[in-house]
Amino acid sequence: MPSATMRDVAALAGVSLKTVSRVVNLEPHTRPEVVQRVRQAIAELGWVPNGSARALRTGRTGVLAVAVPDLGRPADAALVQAVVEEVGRRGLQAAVEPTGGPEQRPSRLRAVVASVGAAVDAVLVLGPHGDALAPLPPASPVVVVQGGGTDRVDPVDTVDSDLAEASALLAHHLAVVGRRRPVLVGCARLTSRGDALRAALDAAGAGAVAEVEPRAQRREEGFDAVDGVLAALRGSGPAGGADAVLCGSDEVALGLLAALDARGVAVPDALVVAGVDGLEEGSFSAPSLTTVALAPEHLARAALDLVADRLARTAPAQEPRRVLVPVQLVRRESTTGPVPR
Amino acid sequence: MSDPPHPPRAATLDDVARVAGVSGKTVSNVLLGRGGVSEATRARVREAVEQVGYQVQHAGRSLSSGRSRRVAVVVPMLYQPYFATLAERLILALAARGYSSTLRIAADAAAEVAAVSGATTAGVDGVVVAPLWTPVEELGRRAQPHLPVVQVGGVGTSPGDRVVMGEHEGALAVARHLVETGRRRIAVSWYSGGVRHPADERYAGYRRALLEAGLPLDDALFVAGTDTNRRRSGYASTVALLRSGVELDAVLCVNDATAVGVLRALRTHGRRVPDDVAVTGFDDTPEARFTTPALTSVDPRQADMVAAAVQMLCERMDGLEGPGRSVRTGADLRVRASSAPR
Repeated sequence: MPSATMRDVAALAGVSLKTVSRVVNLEPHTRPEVVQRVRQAIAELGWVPNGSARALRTGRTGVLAVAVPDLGRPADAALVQAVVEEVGRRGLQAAVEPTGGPEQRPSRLRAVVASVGAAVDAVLVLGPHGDALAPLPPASPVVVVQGGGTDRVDPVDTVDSDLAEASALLAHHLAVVGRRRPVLVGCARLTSRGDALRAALDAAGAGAVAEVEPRAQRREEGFDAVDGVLAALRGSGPAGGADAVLCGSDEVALGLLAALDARGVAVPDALVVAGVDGLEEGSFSAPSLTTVALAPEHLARAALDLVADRLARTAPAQEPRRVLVPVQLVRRESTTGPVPR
Repeated sequence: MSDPPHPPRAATLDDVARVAGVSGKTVSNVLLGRGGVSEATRARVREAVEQVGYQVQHAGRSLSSGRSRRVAVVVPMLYQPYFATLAERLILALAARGYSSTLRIAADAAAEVAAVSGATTAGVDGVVVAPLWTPVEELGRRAQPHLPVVQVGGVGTSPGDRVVMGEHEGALAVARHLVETGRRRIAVSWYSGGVRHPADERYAGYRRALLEAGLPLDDALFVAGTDTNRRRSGYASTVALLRSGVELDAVLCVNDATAVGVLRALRTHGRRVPDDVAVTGFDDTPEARFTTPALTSVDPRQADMVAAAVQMLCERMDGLEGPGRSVRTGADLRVRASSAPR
């Protein structure tokens, strides 16, 4: 049986989340009968107020908005899921607000942010935000998660995966499995912001022999990139043809694996393949996909901790904070070969 | 109202007024911060709001009969691609009708009921829910008169509006397809539900195809996973199936997520797909096209389901009254390499 949440307490006591919070935070001006009812409900359900929920002091709505551009990509969906679960774990309610495509996103984002203090207590912005957050002071209860891209201006707190580390892990892993001539497919997220990937490859004695930049990071694009990859495989540069493929996302890598299989190209024998995201699907592909896990649960936890500090006003008001969440290499069959039976 | 007991409902402005001993208009004035109300009365109204748990409507909703043009979309999870794409499509279809959306991920029955009754969906004009934890019939009963709800998918009948997936038709088609490609020992990888022969329409479609072909329903060919929304569950149940030593030449899976796990299990245990064992799924998720081999599945015409749901909800939000309606959509077999004839 799942443990009770603040919402359960509110429902049992017949009050709002706000009232439960006021009772828990010992705020004045709540009728004694109501206080009694809430305390009784807490006792009956065995609810333990989460320390950080108290710190969040969401005496107003107990709702956090989560602004997302889209749910179509498994990596984005996984992050939303993790954030919503973490919000629930802290006894609060998540309102996921879709913000639409590039044209609508800025105005929709501004509308969501404008609801802070009224309909919601804080906003978590997932993905790029353009200049929609420009006027916000650093102490705002707004946190950007995986803001991505280049030329970013983040006036508020941010949480990001350490993609520079991801690049280093991949480059080093390539060297470990004896490959030095990768094709880069859709690696813009690893090559932007100082091009950590190329520096890491260089340090590992490797170098990209070709680059393919698909229009989108979807399986279809990965599938269609196979011609460029095979051309590089058969290529005759000074060091010989490609022997590896690094993909900027697992989705692209999974599409590519399907295409390579269809063309009879053996992975990892002819080409090793690796992606980034750590999608669960990658455990089940043929071969299973080596990847860099971005741990959405850690991202969610870090983001909620930042929000808690902002609501409690325990963080420095003048500067936004930057949190970099570590990543982890997950070695699977697409680079190391089949598991011996 | 006599029995059954009145289900709990979201507190209304009138409840606040009654408890505070004032008119609805006075409550409005206090909540809107208007003048002409004594401090004592304001205090009474604020206490009443707390006591009844009234969710003050925010951002864009007027306290009179004005609408917010906002709809809540409720799904049980996003890690199952079926629900992520369903949520996406609903959001886009609603936007095309001029409605903004707010999404709720309902992790259990309590959360589903809370979303449908308005407790966690204050300030919306309607709710579209894809039920999983709560029986469709109960969820229909918990809907409130002031908040239209449309259910998409799910099993059973409901007093309210719902869209029914063409599960029977789809499962019948895919099972017939396996028979036509020469398979005779068709295992099923299903959810547990505690019963040997599930009552759902999808399973009924499979049964019918087998009966038509004169094939027996062999209990040894039925295997259940712990959670059909997880690929690893399909994997684990297939390992069990193979260990049992039962002879099989196909596995018909309750959905694509399960089928992906099944494919992996067969591969790691040396069974070739489709040569030794054919595999089929259901849902036609984006993942299904790019498995190795590509997965035969059933497209439940999610776009049609979404269109029907949004249409019915908009009609309700525009004031349509009357009994609940049920719209059944079709299904299309998508044949791919995983079930190719031997």
